[in-house]
Amino acid sequence: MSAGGVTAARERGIQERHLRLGEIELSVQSELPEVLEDLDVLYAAYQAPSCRTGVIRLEARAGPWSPRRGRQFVVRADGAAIYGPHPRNEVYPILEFSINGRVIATRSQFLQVHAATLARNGAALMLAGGSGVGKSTLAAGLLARGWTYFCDEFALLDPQTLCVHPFPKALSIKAGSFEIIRQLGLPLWRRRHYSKHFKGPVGYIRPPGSTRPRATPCPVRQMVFPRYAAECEPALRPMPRAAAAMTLARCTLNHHAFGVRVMPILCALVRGAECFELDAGPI
Amino acid sequence: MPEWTAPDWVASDAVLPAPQRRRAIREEPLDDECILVDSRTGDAHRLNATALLIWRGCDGQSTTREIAARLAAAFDVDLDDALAHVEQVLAALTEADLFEPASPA
Repeated sequence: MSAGGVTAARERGIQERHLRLGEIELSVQSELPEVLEDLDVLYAAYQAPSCRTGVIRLEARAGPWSPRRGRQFVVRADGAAIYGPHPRNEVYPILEFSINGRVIATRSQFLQVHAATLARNGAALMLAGGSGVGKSTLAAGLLARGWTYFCDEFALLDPQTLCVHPFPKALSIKAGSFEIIRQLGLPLWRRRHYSKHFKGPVGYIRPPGSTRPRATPCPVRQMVFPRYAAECEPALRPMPRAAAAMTLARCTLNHHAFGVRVMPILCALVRGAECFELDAGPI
Repeated sequence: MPEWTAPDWVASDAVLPAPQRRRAIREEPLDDECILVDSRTGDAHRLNATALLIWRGCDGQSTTREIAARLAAAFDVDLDDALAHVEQVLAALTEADLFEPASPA
């Protein structure tokens, strides 16, 4: 089957999409119509007419075919294969994940922290922590309440101004939060996506487009460190700034690019913010 | 891990020089705590208020008993308890390689 299906896709040819997400510019090439459609649906408001130099270039392309697994697909970034081969329904989540990897590897003008980031009244909130603590779900909750969306995965921090910069990727939602997202009234783009990396289905929330004002860089005034525990009651507790700085250091994604400057930057950041621990629970 | 026991000198009048802070260590004060950043490696160490007082007493001149006396006065604790705490913190800071090497006798 699939060999014929892929051949048909190939005959339709490779297409390219240019995106501008804040200050990050992307070029994505693919011969897979569903990948192009996903990009068109999720990033309709972020299509750019062309990309300048210095963009992140990604490709989602057909890879090897085997009698047992059928056609497999490969994601290439800036000319090098970084993920694959994978089955077709994993391509889009891996493409999204590849964007993260390339931003970490190439955007060293920012100190990058693993955190969802939103803002209200010109002040940013970071929800910092590793995978699975609930960053994206909490970000979706604030998005539904009118906060300005920056990102569900990265805080891109200018080390000089300590302002966070927007990088409005689609929010990536795991299956355990699908019902919460439905209750929040946010449309979830979810068709065939499956990510082995996340061990299950994922869906996406389109970043706000023309209906809301675009995010602009702003200072971080609140930091929350969520912890998900299914049985616990939601609770928000003040956190000492020194503890917050140490925890943030463990959440930095491009520590290597800043070396000994990381901790002074993070200490300056937490001095300007209120810090909290959050037991998210069944929030 | 064996339980820590106070050395004999704690309750005695022994006077021991405290080590000296490394010049390569940068302090980042945060409220009543502090993060020490080792500029050689980037390693960071969080000090609470009592550990910070002890750290700042490590000037290569003050004795452990003098530092403990400051700690006891600042936090209203018994001198022997303060001495025990000083010893524990100095051991941890030594383990983290935050002191200048001892000069030869």
